[in-house]
Amino acid sequence: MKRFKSVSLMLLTFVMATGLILTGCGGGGTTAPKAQPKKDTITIAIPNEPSTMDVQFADDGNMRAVTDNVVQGLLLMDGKTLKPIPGLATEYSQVNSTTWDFKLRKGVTFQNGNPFTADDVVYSIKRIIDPNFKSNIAGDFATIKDVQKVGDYEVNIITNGPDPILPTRLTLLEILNKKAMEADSKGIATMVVGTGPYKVVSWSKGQNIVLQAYDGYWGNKPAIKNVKYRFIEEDATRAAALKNGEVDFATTMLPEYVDSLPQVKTAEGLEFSLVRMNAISGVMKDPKIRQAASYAINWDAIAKSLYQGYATIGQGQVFKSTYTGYDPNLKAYPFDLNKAKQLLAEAGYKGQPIEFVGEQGRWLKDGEQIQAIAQMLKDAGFNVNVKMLAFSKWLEVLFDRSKAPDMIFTFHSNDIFDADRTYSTYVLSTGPGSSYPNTLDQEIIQARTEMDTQKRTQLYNDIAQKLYDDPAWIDGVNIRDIDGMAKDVVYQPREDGRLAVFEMSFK
Amino acid sequence: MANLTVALDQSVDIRDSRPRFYGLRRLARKMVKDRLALFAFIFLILIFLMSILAPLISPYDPTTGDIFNRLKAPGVSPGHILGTDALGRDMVSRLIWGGRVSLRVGFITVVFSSAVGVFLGLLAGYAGGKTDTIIMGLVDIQFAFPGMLVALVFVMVLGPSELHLIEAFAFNGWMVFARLARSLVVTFRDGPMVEAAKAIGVRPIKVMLKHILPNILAPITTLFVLEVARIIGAEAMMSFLGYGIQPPTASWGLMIGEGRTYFPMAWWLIIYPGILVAATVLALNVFSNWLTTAVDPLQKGQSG
Repeated sequence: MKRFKSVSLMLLTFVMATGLILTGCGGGGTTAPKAQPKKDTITIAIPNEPSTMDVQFADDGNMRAVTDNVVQGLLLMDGKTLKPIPGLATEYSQVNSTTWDFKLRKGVTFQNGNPFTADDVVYSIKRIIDPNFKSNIAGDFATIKDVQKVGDYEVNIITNGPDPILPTRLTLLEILNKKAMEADSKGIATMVVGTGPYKVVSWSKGQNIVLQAYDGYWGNKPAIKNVKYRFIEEDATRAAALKNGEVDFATTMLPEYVDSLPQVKTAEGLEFSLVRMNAISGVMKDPKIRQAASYAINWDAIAKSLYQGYATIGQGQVFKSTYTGYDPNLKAYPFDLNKAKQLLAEAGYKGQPIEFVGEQGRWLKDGEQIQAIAQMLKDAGFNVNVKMLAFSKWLEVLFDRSKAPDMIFTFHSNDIFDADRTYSTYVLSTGPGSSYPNTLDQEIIQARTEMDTQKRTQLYNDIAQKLYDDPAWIDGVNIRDIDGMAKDVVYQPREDGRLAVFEMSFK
Repeated sequence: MANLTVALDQSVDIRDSRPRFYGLRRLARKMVKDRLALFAFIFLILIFLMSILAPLISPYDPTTGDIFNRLKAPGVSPGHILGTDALGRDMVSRLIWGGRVSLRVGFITVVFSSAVGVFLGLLAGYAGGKTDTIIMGLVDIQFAFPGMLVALVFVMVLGPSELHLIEAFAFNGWMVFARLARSLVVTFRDGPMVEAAKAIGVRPIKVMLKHILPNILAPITTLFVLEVARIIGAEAMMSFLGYGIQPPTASWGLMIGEGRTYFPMAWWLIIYPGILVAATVLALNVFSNWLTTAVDPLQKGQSG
C-alpha cells in the first residue's frame, strides 16, 4: 500500500504544481503595510501597461487611465451629463458656420512651469491633424481644417464644413506644451507634460507609473497627493491584489467578483457589443436573413445571466438615451425563434455556411458572448462557423471592406456620444468598418453637417429606422464598467469611462 | 565444429543483449508485479476508452450549454455531476471530449515526428559520412531554437487550429527520434549480423528497415510514449494561451485557460481538467519508464 500512497502524493504535488503554473497565481509578493496614519498615496491596478504616453497618437485605454489625469483639452467632459464644459478655454462662440472662436484661460501653467498660451493650442491641433503624423485618433478630428491664433489668449478653429459637434470632439484633443515638444519631440513617448491636476513623476517600464499632484494646477486641487499605477493583466489576480490590500483600486472587474470585493462601484460605460453583418455580398446580403439573425439572439439571457445584470440591451440601436441621434421610438428586436426560422425559410436559406469572426480577451467576456451568440444562431438554423482571430488579425478583417466576413463581432465605443461616430464608421459605404451598401450615405453626410439640432435628430431617427429594417448589425448589450476599490476609497465612476483620480478621495 | 559452436554462442549473446520485446504474456506478468505501472496502465486504458467512446458516453453536447444554468458547482445542478462552466456547458462532457482532442493531438503528432525522425536517424547512422554530418547538423540547429517558441510563432503566422498545432509540434519533435535512432544504429552498423546481410548483397534500404529497425524498436517505443506525454502537456499550454485548440471545441488546456478568470469563485473549472492533464502525463511517464526496464534485460534488476 505504501506505493499507492507515494503515487497519490506524487500526483497531488504534480497537480498542484501544474495548477499553479497554468493559472499564473503569482501576484506580486509584497503586501502593503496596513493602517498608515495619513494616507496620501493611492495604488491603482490597471490591466495592461500603456503603450506610450503620446496622448495625441495612441488609442489606448490603459494610457488614458493614466494621462486623463495629466493632460487636458480646451473643453472638458462632464462625467455625469456627458456635456462639454469649459477647460483650457473659458468660453466659445461660432463666428460663422465653419469658424469657431475660443477664449483661453489665463494664468494656467504646464507642469514644467511654462505658461499656457494660444501657441500651445495652435501647435497641438496642427500636430494631430497633420496627415504625416498618422494619429490613431485622427478620425475624431477629421472635420478640423485649420487653427489660427487671434491673440495670446484667443484662437479660431476652422472646420471643413459645418460641424455641430466640434465642442465634443475638442474634449478628446489634448493640449501639449509647444516649447517642451520642440525641445524634445521624442520625450512624450515616456513622459507627457500637460496642464492637468497630476504630473508624471516616473515610469519604470514593466513595473509602475507614479504621478504626483501638480502644485500649480489652475483648478481644484486633488484630494490624493500621490498615485501609483500597477499593471496586472489577469482579472483574477487583479481582484486578489485588491482583496489582499496590495492595491486600493482595480479597474475592469467581473460581475462574478462583486460579492467578494471590499467595495464596488459601477457606471454605464460606453462599450456596446454588436455583430456586424455583411450586407454587400455573400449569404447575408438578403435583408431577411439579417433580420432573422436579429430575432435569433436572446440578449436578455446574455445580459441577465452571462453579465449577471451588469449589461443593458441596446434598443434597436447602439446608443444610450443621452447620445445625439438616439431614437426613443425604437425597441430591441424581440427574441423570437419561430420568427427567425420563418424568415430564413422565406429567404430560401438552405444551410449555407456562415463565417462568424471574433476575438477574445480584449473586452469583458467577449469570447463567451461570441460563443453564446453562435450557439443561439445555430439553434435558429444558421450554419455558423466561429473563427476566433488574434486581435491584430481581427482588426485587419474588421477594417477591410473587401475581406468582410458574413458576420464579425466587435465592441463599439462612441466616445463623442454622437450618432455620426457610429454611422460614419460602420454604415457609410466609405467608412473604415462598413460592409453596408451606399443606400444611407447621403443622409449620413447630410446629418453630419446639419447645424439645426432638431432637424439633425430627425435625420438620425430616420436613419436608425431604416437600419432597423435593413440591419447593418445585430444590436448587442451595453456593458457596465465595474471598478473595485478598498473600503476607504470614495469615488463614483464616470459615465464617459475615464478614470479620474482627481475625483477620488480617502474616507 | 568448435568454431561453429563459438559462432552460434556469439549470435545468441548478441540477441540476448539486444533490447527487444518479450512475449506479451511475459510482459503482462511483469506488469502485475509492478503495481505503480499497473495503476498507470489501467488509468491510461480508461482515458483511451473514454476518448474513443466520447460520442457514446458523453451525457451532453460539449459545445452547447444552457446559459441560465452557468457556473453551477459540482453536484448542485441535477444532471451535471461535475458542474457547469461559464456558458452553462456540462463539465463531464467537456472533460470527455477534451481528452479526445488532447490524445488525438498527442498521438498524431508523435506518429509523424517519430516516422520522420527514425527514418532520418537510420539514414544518418547507417550511411555515416556527409549524410550523417548534414542530418545531425540539422538536428543540432533545430535543437538550438526553444521548441515552445517555434510552435508559438508557427501558429501565430498560420493561425491557430488543431492541424497547425500538430504540424508545429511534429516539426519540432522529430529531432529526439533522429538522435536516438542514430545512436542505436551506430552500435549495430558494424555488428556481424549487418555485415552478414551486406555480404550476401541485401540492399542498404532493406538492411536498414529489416535488419536494424526491428532491433531498435523497443527504446524508440518508450521514447514515443514519453513524447506523447510531452505533446499533451504542450497542447494544454498552447490552448491555455489561446494559440491551440479554438473554442467552442473543448480541450483540457483550453478549459483551464477559459476557467482562469472565474477561478476565485468556480474552482471546478480548472481543477478537473488540471488533474486530468497532470495525471495523464504522469501515467504516460510511469508507463514509459516501466516499458524501458521491462523490455531491456540490462535493466532487469530495477523492474522487479
